[in-house]
This record gives sequence, structure tokens and C-alpha cells, in this order.
Amino acid sequence: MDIFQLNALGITDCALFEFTSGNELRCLTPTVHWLADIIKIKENSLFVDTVESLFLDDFMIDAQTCWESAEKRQVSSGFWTETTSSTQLRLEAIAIQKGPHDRYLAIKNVSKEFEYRQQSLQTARELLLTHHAVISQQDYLNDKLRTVLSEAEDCQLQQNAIKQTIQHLHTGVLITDASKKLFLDNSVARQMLRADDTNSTRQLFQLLQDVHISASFLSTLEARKDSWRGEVYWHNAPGGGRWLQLTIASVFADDTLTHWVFLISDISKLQQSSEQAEPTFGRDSLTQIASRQAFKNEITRWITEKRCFGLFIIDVCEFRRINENLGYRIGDDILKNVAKRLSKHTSKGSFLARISGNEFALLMPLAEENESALLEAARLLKGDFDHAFVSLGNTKTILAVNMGVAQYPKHGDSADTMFHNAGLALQFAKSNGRNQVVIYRDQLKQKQQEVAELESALTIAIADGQLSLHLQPIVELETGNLVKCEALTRWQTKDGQMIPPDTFIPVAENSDLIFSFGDWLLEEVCTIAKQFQEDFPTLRIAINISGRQIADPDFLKIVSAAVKKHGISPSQLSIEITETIFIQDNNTVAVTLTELRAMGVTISIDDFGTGFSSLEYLKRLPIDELKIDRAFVRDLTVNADDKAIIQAILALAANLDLAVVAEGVESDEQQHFLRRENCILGQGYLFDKPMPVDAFITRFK
Amino acid sequence: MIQKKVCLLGPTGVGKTSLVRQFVDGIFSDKYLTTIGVKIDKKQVLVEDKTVQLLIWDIEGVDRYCGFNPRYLRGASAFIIVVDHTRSQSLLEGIDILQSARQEFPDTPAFFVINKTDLNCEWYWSEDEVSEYENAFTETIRTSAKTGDNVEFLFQAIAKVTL
Repeated sequence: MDIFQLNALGITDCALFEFTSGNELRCLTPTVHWLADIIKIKENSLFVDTVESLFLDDFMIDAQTCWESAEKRQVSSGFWTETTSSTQLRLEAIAIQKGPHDRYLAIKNVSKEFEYRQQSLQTARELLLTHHAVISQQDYLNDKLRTVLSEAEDCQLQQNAIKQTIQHLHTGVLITDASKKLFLDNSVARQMLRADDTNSTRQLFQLLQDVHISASFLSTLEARKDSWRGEVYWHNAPGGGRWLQLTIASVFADDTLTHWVFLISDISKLQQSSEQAEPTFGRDSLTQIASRQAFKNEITRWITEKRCFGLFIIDVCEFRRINENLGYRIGDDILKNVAKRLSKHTSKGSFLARISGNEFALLMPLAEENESALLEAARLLKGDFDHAFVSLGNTKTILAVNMGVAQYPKHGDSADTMFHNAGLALQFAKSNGRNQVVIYRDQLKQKQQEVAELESALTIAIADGQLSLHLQPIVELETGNLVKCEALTRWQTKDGQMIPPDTFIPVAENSDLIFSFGDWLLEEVCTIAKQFQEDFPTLRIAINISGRQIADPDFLKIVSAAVKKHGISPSQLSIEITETIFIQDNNTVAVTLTELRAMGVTISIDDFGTGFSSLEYLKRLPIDELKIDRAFVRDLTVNADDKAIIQAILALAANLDLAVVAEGVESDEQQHFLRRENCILGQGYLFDKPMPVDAFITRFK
Repeated sequence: MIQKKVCLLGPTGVGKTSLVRQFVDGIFSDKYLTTIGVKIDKKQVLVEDKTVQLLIWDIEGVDRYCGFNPRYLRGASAFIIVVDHTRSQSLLEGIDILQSARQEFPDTPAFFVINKTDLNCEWYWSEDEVSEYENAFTETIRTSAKTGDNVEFLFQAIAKVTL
């Protein structure tokens, strides 16, 4: 059936144009009645005379790029509204490139899809705005209370004034003194905590404990003089589980902690409505599989029926980047394909849903409680992502996924607990990298607690000067002469315990601490560089910078300011980044690296060969040096593969005119091999261990 | 006649469409109707002795349901980031949108519009915080699409900058 018949039958309402070899658009459907409002066509030839629609005229730039592309592809304009003299048209334009002489522009009247999208988003967005209003009210109260509490001099006056104000609020307010004894609360807080005037603080801390907000978390807030706001599900709430919007704030007067402010709003109804307002009839409108709410209902049903099952939450990694790079239309298309691939498991009695933008969830019946069955199922699910996803315009995308898994009845007795526990497992899977599967176990909660505690301790360590830098020389393999050095962080706690970098660096990287840690590192290295200006004026000091820092648009400013402040030359600095950086925001990364290099800072790729290797970025980005990962060097004397990898890296570097440093050189045999293969620089215990700055100066002065 | 493209960006529900309706048609409705996709309106303004036709691109609000699409900003002579002074969250989201826009269009004049000033809600950011954000913009203008306060002034200021 062709487009004329489809239009005539009302199945489509679409205008079609052919992009000719003479670079003109020829209308194939001149009878489409609304077309004249957006495009003028020459009656004799049917070629487009003028594009009246401003939006379409702008889209023609993208269309032209599409038609000139060597590959088959499609580009969509997205929906737009065109106001004509009599009506409003809802349209979408699609440029199609099927071959050198097979190029089209389709303009679709999408009023039905538009109306459907508007209806489904109207309620969802109204709820979003209501939720924002709750948040704004908490933020406003938090700010006012912190100001009043930190400034007032007469405690009694202050107490009376606040008491009067908070009694009439719809937000629960509970204020304690620094030792967490009740200072003030209001009736809404007591009602939500099911407390009276004697036990509201105890009930509050029970709530915090139930939602895993630990004492160390409060210590972190105190150390940062900060506040926190978030949504929590209080599973054990008196009267049944409830969703709460919670704000916790530390209050300081003259650098002394004086109060804690806790603000609580019950958002259970809002949450429930939000879930219901998500695409209707329990279906996700994009993928047409079940929605989050329908999935939760299904878990409850399975639990009621006492069925043994595994709950898998599948998170598609870096999906935001796909949307940004390839466009939302292709992003949506990929999600539909993910749903399609995963749907094959439903034939075996499993239940599949899309539970958020890039997260899918699957309930799979299990014959018995058996971890190996879960792992096998996870392996099969991961297998669905082995092949590239081919979407509109023949775009091929390889996806990585992480999975969190929980098992019923072993890991929970309600839909919320099961969701929560599988979610916690997913959180750990994500922190391990890509394509990871983690099965929930109780120790994860403990681990989560430990990570929170380590985070808190690291916050204090950075502020208290418990961190220090050691320097490890990088030398010429031939002569052993010092060429450069790498700064490595050491953390000794106040009680003398050494915390290894492998433990605390990932914790920093998985939290915002990486930024304060990075600031500290830069400051320390610049101080050392200044100190070195007399004895080692040309020696570069290398520091490891995380991908998140490099992707921070302010990073360049921070480096420039540090260099200026300490009066050092940027040529005294070298920045080491890992390959994982290239899955970050590429534009920001490229700009930052180029600017750094223009300043005189050199750029090295650390642990080369272990991560996301791409010749594309090596060619495109301003890189000076590759550091061969120690893992390859360690076994090169016994492992032919490692030897071959090193040889390949050296050949690649020679072709791209990049320097190479071999890391972890510990034996003469390794050194001889590397020299034979024309590797010029090395670093490792064979030459020197990392040493304190003073020892370094003494050693090399 | 000189034509200039101006894009309205911002989180959901901050009043982007209301600003356009007030400026182009002089009307305001309290009823919230979410925008889908893009709608372009035109209006002429007189700057000194020149007539400028503003092509105003009203773009669907950025939120969890709709991402930021930099393609729409192509060829814009200015863009406006609208936030709602009764919603703290909208300021942070507005700044996020600005940063995304700046990655692709670092030099396009950007106007910071704090809308809904008719609503009696105290602005809780300190003036320091606001001025810190303001520095990233060409100009900050507080408006009310409901009463029309500063709406005409906003588009006049934009037209002036684009010339």
C-alpha cells in the first residue's frame, strides 16, 4: 500500500517529498490539504518553491546533512506547532536517506500523537510541580530557620518566636540542640512521627535509622556545615509505609554547632499519584511494556501467591549520553528495542517492565531459592546486549548494562523491600563499573554504611591534613636518570592507621568528595612545584585527575588559579587521566584537555590498555604520553600475550608520536625487555618506591 | 526587515508560554497547559529607529520527560532562561540548562528571567547567590507574565542586544 492509499484511508496524514539529484525537493503528495500552509509548491513542476514554515526551514539544515550522509539514516525534527489562519497543525518532519538516489522528506500531521503526549504529560508535570512546591517550602524554611537560629542572641525570645511561626505550617518541623535534645517541634511533625511531647526526638531518630541515615551521615553534614534534602520511604512507619520528603540541616553560630533542623513532609499521596500518572493503563507509552506501578502490583501479586522469584533491575549505562549524541528519537528507538529483546523472557512466565527512563525490571519465576539460577538468568539477560542495537537510519549502538538482583522470599517480604534491595544491589553494581551483576545480600547494607563512614572520615581527613603526598620518580630506562615524578596520595589517620588509596579513591570518585580531594591535591602539588623551582626547575610532577573533575567545566579555571596563586609554571605539571574519561562528556573533556595543553601542562593516559581503548580519541585528543599498565609489565616475562600487548602499544605510540612510560617495573628482566623494545621511560620499585617529599629532595638533589 | 531568532528555555511550568502569550497577544491564563515540542511566534519591536521582527521559539520545558535539545538554538541571536521565583528547584535546573546551552553556544547572549514576581513568595536565595548566577548572563530581568510587568521591557532589551 502506498502513501496515497494510506492517506486516503486516514491511516496516515503525511506529505512526502523526494530530494532529487538536482538538490531540489519534489512533492509526491500535492493533494495533502494542509501542505500549502507550510510549503509553496510550483504547480507545473511540483518542486518546492519556498518553505513558509520557520521551523521547517531551520530543520532543512539537518535534513540536508542527512541526505548528504554516506550512510542510510533518518533524522526527526521533533514535534512542532504551526499556526495557520484557521487552525493549529501539529507536525513532525523526518529526513530519510536510504541511498544516493533514494532521499525523502516526510512531513507528518501528528495531532493524535501530540494530543496523547500532551494528555499524559499534563498530569505528570502538574504532579512534578506540586512536588517542587513541597521542596521549595522546605528549602525556604530551612534557610529561614538556619538564619534565625544562628543569629538570635536571646535564646528564650528566639524559641518563642520560632514556636509561634512553625505551629501553623503544613511541614513537620523538629529542631534539636547540638546534642540532639529536643529544642522545638510542631504538631505536624508529631503527627507524622506518631509522637507526643515526650518522644518526638526518639521517633525521629528511629525514622532516620529505618531509612539508613546513619550517625556518620550527620557527622558528614556537620563537618561540611551543610544540609541535605531527599525522599525516603519509611517502611516501618507507624500506621504503614510512607514516603517522606526530608530535610536535615546543621546550624552553626560562630563556627560552633548549635542546632539540628529536621523538616518532614508526607508525600505518599503525591508519590502514589505520580506512579499512577505515568503512562496510563499500566503500560509504558514508549515501549508498550508494563509500567513501574504495574510492576509493583505484579510483585505484590507474586508475593501474595507465595511464588519464589528473582527480581532483576537492569540499568542501561550512560543512556543520557546516547540521547545527547544521537538524539532522543534514536534514544527512544533503542529503548523500544531493549524492551523487545528483553520481552522474549516473558514467554517463560517472566514479567517485564520499564521502571524509569533507562531502567527495566524483570520478575522471573524460580524453581527454588538458588543463587546459581539467579546468576545464570543474569547471564542470559546480559547476553541480550551482546549484539549492537540497530535503530533508525541504521545507527548501531553497543549498550552496557548493570544489574541489581534480589530474590523472594530470601531478600524481602514486600514489593517495596524487594525493590529497595534490588536497587541497593544495582547501586553496588554501578560502582563496580559496567556490565556488572550484584546479587543483594545483607552485607551490602553494612557496606553501604561503611562507605558512608569512610566518606565522612575522608571529608575530615582532607580538612584536617591527614593526607600527604609521596613522590615516585619516573626515569630513563637506559640511564636511570630522573625525568619526571608522579605524586601519590597517602592517608594516615590520627591513630596511625594507613588507609590504602585503592580504598579511599573510589569512595571519593563515587561521591562529590572527588572535587574537594582534587582541590587539595592540586594545591599540594603546586606547593611542591614551587619548592622544586630552585633544585628541580624543569621536573614535571604528574597528578592523577578523575574523569568527573576533567568533565567539570570549572576545572580549567581551578588549575589556572592554582598555578597563578603559587607562581609556578604550568610546564611543571602533568595530568594523568584514565581511558574511562572518554565515556564522559566528550566536548568538555576535549576543550579542557586542549586548553590545559595550550597552557603547557602535559597529558598522560594512565593504566593504558585496561579500559575503554579507542584509536579515535588518541588521534583526536591532545595527548602526550601513554603509561602502560603495570598488569602487562608484571607478567611480561611469562605471558606472551602481555609481551605482544606491550609491543603493540609501543608501535602505536611511535606512530602517533607519543611518549611511553612503563609502570610497575620491578625486575632487570622487565627493564631489559622494555629497553629492547625501545621503551624509553619507566617507573617502579626497581628504581625507587614512592617517598616523602623531603626524602625525594635528599635523594635527587 | 531585520529578523532575529530568540529561544525561550527553562524547566517545566515556569511560564515560558505565558510570557510569549503576554508579549504577543497581551493575554494571560492561570490554567497551566504543558507545551509539547516547539511553537514559533513573531512580533515586531521598534528599537530606536529600526523595526526588528522577533521570531520567538517557545520550547517544551526541560524535565525528566523531555531533555534539552541544543539543535533548536542553532542560529539564535539570543536565548532566555526562564525560572520561577516561587520554586527554588527551577533556579538550579535553569542554571543546568544554561550550562548545556553554553557548551554548544558559548557566545550567544543569554537573558536570565525570574518570572512570577506577582506571586507573594519570598525569594530565599541570598543576593550573593543570585548575583553569582547573574554573572553568567547578559542581563537579569524579573517579570510577571500575569501582570505583564517587565515583559515588554524584556523583549525590547533582547531586540536591542541582537542588533
